[in-house]
Amino acid sequence: MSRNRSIRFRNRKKIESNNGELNITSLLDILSFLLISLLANYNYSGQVVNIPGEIKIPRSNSQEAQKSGVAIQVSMQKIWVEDKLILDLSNEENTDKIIYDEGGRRVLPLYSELMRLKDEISAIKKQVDKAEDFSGRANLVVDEKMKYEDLKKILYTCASAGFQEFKFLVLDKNL
Amino acid sequence: MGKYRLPSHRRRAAQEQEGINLVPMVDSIFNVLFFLLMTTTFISIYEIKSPIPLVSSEKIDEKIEKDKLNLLLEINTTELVLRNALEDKIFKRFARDITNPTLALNELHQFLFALKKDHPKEDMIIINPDSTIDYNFIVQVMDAVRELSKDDVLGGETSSKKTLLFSNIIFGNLSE
Repeated sequence: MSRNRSIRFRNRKKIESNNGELNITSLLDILSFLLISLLANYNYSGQVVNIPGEIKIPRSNSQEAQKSGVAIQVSMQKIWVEDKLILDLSNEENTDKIIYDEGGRRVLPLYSELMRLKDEISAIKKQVDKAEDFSGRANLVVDEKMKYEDLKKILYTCASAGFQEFKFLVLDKNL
Repeated sequence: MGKYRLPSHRRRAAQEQEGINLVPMVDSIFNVLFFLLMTTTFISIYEIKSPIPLVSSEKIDEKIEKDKLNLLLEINTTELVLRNALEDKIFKRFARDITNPTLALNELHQFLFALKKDHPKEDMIIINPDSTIDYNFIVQVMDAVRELSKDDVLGGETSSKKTLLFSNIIFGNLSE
């Protein structure tokens, strides 16, 4: 009883209560570090491109930031436009269909989808003034093993659908 | 006596207010961090642009002027041939070595760098890859044609200023 009342014990109690507080300075340091690193690597274009598992894109020294556009993903067997599968050559049902026209240079399903998408963007632009206009940019996510013979058909189809700029998406070589 | 005196209320209150209250700051950092973590992409994806494809009725000859370099790079399985697109003049051939594929690309880069020094305003090159060439090699060629290495200095400007060698790469044989 007399011990509890003593001045020495009261001071010790005070020290113990100070130690019980959480020291958040180190936590704040970690959070700030994370924040800076995330802000430094943040993609401000707002464009998120999905890379299907079947596609391995090449590595490059290019440091040009990716800009918005219509994403066209091309694997050895499949073609997607904005993540929508439009052609699957591994499916036997597609082997009988007419896939190419203009002397085998244009991929018909891809052309139809790109034209539909272009018309859709133009229709939205007519209705909403502030809507983004058709950019004419094709963001190409192409498998690194694809031969130029096939790539040429994709490029030709995009060009004939009214696209004026190709953007070949690549990974950073230094990572 | 004075040694064991308790601190006054005023002194104790002053001691408690010494530290900055970091809790609101931690709250706001957590909010921003959460937003960034949900929206960020952890893979760095960049792009190589290739403007104005030459398709349909447009001919190469209409696009290029006679007083320019008019660079045309043919990419074959055995070699890279750099020529003038208008005249039948070959600038240089770069033999491809299967065991060392970067050798021809380095030679091409050095040659184009020397050309760029003499023609600093030139930025266009037409590439005609063979149908059997894979996309990965085309990207490597585009790198050799476009990107400046760290040691390259163009007209007193280092590559850190984001200048490119030949930035306008056009696929010339799309309609063939």
